[in-house]
Formats: sequence, C-alpha cells, structure tokens
Amino acid sequence: MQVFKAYMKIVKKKIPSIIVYFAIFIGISIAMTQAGSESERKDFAQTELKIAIENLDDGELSKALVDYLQVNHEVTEIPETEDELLDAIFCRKLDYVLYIPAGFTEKFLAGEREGSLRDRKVPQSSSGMFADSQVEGFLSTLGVYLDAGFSVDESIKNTMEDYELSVEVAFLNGENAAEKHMAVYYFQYLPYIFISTIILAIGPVLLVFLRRDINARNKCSSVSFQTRNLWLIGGSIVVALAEYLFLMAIGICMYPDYILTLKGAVGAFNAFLSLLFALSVTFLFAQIVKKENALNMVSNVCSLTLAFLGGIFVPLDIFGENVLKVSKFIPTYWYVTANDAIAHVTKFSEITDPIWHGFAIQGIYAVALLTLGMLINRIRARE
Amino acid sequence: MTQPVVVIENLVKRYKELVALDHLNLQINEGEIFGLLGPNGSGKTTAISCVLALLNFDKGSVKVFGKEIQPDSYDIKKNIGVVLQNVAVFRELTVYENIDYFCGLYIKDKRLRKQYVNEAVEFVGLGEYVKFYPKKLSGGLLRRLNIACGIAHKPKLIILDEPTVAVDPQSRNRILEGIEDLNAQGATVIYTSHYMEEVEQVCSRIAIIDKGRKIAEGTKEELKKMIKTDEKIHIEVVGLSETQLSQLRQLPHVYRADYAANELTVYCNGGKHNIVHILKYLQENEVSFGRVYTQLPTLNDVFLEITGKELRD
Repeated sequence: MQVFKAYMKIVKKKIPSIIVYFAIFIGISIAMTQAGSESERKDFAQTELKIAIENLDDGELSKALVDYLQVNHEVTEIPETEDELLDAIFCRKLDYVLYIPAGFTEKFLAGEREGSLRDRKVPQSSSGMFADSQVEGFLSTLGVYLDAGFSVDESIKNTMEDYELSVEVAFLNGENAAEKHMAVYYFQYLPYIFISTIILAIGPVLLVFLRRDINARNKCSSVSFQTRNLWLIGGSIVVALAEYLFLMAIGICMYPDYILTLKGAVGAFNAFLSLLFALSVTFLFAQIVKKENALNMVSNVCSLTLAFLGGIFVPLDIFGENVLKVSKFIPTYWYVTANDAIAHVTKFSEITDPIWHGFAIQGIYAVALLTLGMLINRIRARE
Repeated sequence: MTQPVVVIENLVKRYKELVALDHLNLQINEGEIFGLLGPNGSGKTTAISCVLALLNFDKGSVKVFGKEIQPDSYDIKKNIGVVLQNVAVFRELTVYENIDYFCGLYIKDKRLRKQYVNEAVEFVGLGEYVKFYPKKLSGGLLRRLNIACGIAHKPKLIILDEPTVAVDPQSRNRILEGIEDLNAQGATVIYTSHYMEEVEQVCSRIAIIDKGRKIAEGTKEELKKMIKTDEKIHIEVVGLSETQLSQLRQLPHVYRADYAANELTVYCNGGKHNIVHILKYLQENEVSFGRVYTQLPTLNDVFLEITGKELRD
C-alpha cells in the first residue's frame, strides 16, 4: 500500500504536466476527428475550376458549351490586358481560359471540329487537363448526336442530360464515408490518445520507482518484489482508468446518441482493451528506457507508428496489400477494424468475428507485453 | 556472551575477471559498531550488498540473525536498516513524505509510523525542513535525510555505507554522534568508510579490507599493536646531511627516519624519551631545528604498514 500511496503522491505532483499533455493530445485528436470525417466525405466531390471564357461566336453550340461549363465551374470575364491575364494564370486565380472564335457553331456543324477552339492554362497542370477533357468530352458527345441525325436543339438537350448524370460512389466494403457516425471517428482516435498520454504520464512515475538507487533501497526492505510491482501496476491502472472514464464522459457529452447504445458500449469495451495495451506498452518501455527525455521520444515514435500503420490517421481502405500485411501485426489495426465493424452493431448477436478477433488480439498483445515487461523487471532486479 | 548478528564466511564475489571479494570472513556481534575500513574499490560496498542480498555471490555464505540471507528473506530484512552510499530518496516527495514512505515499508501501523517518523526527523535534526523537497537541501542535510529514511523503523541492525561522503564537518559530526546514539539505543551498526578518523572515532571493532580480502581485524588498539610504530616524531630541520640521517637511524628504538622538505620524520618502536635522544643528537651535531611534535600511530599507519600504500589512494 505504501508503494501505491507514494505512486499517487508522485502522480499528484506531476498533474500539471499530465494535464498539459492530455489537453494537447485530446485537442489534436478532436481536431483530427473533425478533419478526418470531413475529408473522407469530400473524397468524391467534383473539383470546381475558375474558367474565363471569351465567346465571339453567337451560335447555339458555343452558348451550350458555356452553359455546360457554368454548371460545374466558376466562369468569369476574361481580364482586360494580356499582363493581367498572365498574372491571373500564374497566381492560379484562373485555371483555364477558353477562346471561342466567331463562326465556331457554323464550322462545327459543317464538320470542321478540330482546332477551332483556343485555350490557355498552366502547362501540364492537372486543372488544365481536366478542363480540356471536359470541353473535348462535351463537344465529342455533341458531335455524336449531330452525326446521328439529331437536330441541333435535340443534340444540345441530350448532351446536357448526359452530363447531368452522376454516379454514387461507395467503398468496396459497402461503407459510405458520409454515413459514418462522428462517434466512430472519436473512438478511432482514442488509442492514439491512450498511447501518447499514458506513456508520457505514467512512464515517468514508473521510472522514478525503477531508478537504480530507489530500486536498490526498495529491495532492501521487507516488502516483496511481487507486492511492489503489483502496487505499481495497480497505481498505473487507477490513473489510466481515470483517463479512460474522462474520455468516455467527453464522448457521451459529444455523441450520446451513439455511445449510449449497444454499439457505444461495445466500442467502449474495445477502447478499454486498447487502454490495457497502452498500459502494457508503458510498463515495458519503463523497464527499457532510463530517462524521461527518451520516454518522450519513444512516446512520439510509438504512438505515431501505431496510429499510421494501424489505420487511425489513414483509412485502411487506401492501404496497399503489403502495407496491410504489416498492419496486421499491429494491435491498433485490429482495434480500428473492430471499431468500424462495431458501427454496424445493433444487437448483441451482430457482434461479428472481426470484432471478437479485435478484442482477442488486443488482449493477447496487452498480456504478452506486460509479461515481457515483468520478465525484464525481474532480470534487472537480479542484476 | 554477545550473539553474532552477521556472519560472513569465505565470501567470494567476481565481476568477470575482477575478484571483488576474495574469501572474506567477518563476524559482527550484537551491540557493536563494526567498522569496515578500506580504500575506494576495496570491496566494502560489494560486501554490504551481499549482506543485504542485493548481489548474488559466487561462493561462501552470509548469515544475518542466524539465517542465510536470500533476496526474499523479508523476515530478516524487516530488522535491517540501510543507508546506502548513494542518496536514495524520492526527489518528488518532501522530507517528511520520504521518511514516511521508507518507514512504511516496514511499519504498517499508521499511528506508530507517525511517531517513528517524527522521532527520525528529530534524530537527524531536519525538523525545520520537513516540507522541503530534496533538491532544496544541502549535501549534508540530504545525507541526514538518507539516514533518517534508513533508521526510522528502529531496526536491530543498521548498515551505513559511507554515509558521510561529501558532507560538511558540522553534518559529519552530527551523523557520527547519531550513530553512537543509535548504538546506545541497542542497534548493532556496520559502518563502512575510507575516512579512518571517523572509524577510529565511532567503531568498537574494525576490519581493514583491501582488494576484497580482510587484512586485519580487531579493536583500534589491537590494530595499532599489530604494527611496529609506537610513536612518530616530526621535527622541522634545516640542512640535515645524509650521514646525519644515517646516524639518526642508528639511535636506539628508531627503526626508520625520513627527511624531506625540511621535515624530519622519525619512527620509533617502544622505548622511552625517544624525543630527548633525537633532539640531543641534533644539538650535539649543531643541526638547527624548529617546530617539534609527536604523533601516536593512526589507522592510516596500520593500513600503510600492512599494505604499503596510503588508505586514500
């Protein structure tokens, strides 16, 4: 009990720095939760270009082309002087400039379809190529209708209708990013917070007790090695639980409609296992690392590696096959996989294999790392 | 008859090629202040670490309170107080919290512990500093805190490993007085040091070790009797010739005489009025001399004579 009390006293003295770490990492994670969900939702939104058009033709086809471009892009007047025009392109105030010469409609209807339009753009720019492809695509479709014997009005109408069609984009696994609940992202970032803050908050306290002089002095006492370690682990669990409960409380305040449901409870259990993993990692590193500065470095490297490779910061869907093979060795991968699957749970029987696998693998990792940490501790104690 | 508290028999400890303890034998009896004297690296701390089961040893045995000590001999350890060479306190806890922590490793009863902690604070004179953090304490006060943490639970055996290293004279005297007080209260004390004055001052029995071996053991009087020197005479002399120095060495009871930096040092064994004979010789040979003083042999002389080297090499 004495070890536990001293542990808590040291934690109390380190509370200001713990709060700073905690605030920083929660801030980062909440910001990333917002940014992450937004960026995924916009993945398939069409890019809007800034296009200037000089239309010297008063025919129907040129008018139709301008109307079409106006639907998807911001069409503006062409700058008055050449210098202004070049500046606008250089500064990316304009992505594309289209010149439609007089008599364009007549020539097009007469079959002269190549080389009558002129454009200016940033050479080799993706925006320029995109605009080119849109103009060429529209005129090509229009030409097909005209060649097929449709009247000018019909051809224009049909072409416009063709380009109004849109395609619903969905992930191969059936998920639509836009439909993901924000709480799923909140849960997704929790392991990053746990790993970062627990290493930084609990690691230094463990280091104090594992310091060579204190350790030697404790070994001279009548409190057994196992008892001392159990109290140290107990103290760490109490601090980690406090952090866990605090984060769950924040989650409930932000997303009560998700977290106060079965899927929320299962997600919270998943997060709890991730917390145990973070604790084990911390206990292991405290045995290996000797200085607090080194622990900071380890915390950053470890949390970022696990976050990136585990799919916390980057969606697992965009990982290549080889990266995924590596990711499967990382517990955060199993956490994220389970977290995504949990989002579809509505009743207990829907807790599928990926979720159970996620739980089991995280649990195994936590026990294995804690055992390894205890083993190193034992070896060091005998040195 | 007093009981042996610690018995070390044929203890051998090796660090790869280095033999840190070479068949060391020691017996420390109840109620003693036992001094373990030796130069840096002689094996004092290694011996203490073996007694505390902090180190595994290669051969021999260590018995404390009649039982073989093992890392898990917690029933023995609860009666041992330890003040390690390096100050082992929590920088994150106050003076009071530190003493309370270490005392609490042995004393579970909260009320009794509070009493013991307060007594320890008073004993080492840290009453004004109980709310201070260790980094605010001077070297001497820090050492006193280290001692308080080691003795607060009122152990029967107290092991102090060089507790006065880098301590100011005032704190050193306080620590030495404290050790005598603890002994007077019934504790057996093992005290290691390379400061012979301290060992001479407080220890009732002394073992001198060098290169992991015990080279002498006994009370300070017994140790001094082991060497030839009974008296050392120092005389400030100007212009002493080699012939005169040789003649001085021929005087009765003089077995050695050195002359360097205008100081003549004459070593005598036995005899009376040696100083008179030497001064008479100098007068007769018209050798001018100044300050004269005599010195009884110290433990340093014992160490020097037995090992051929100074204690603080």
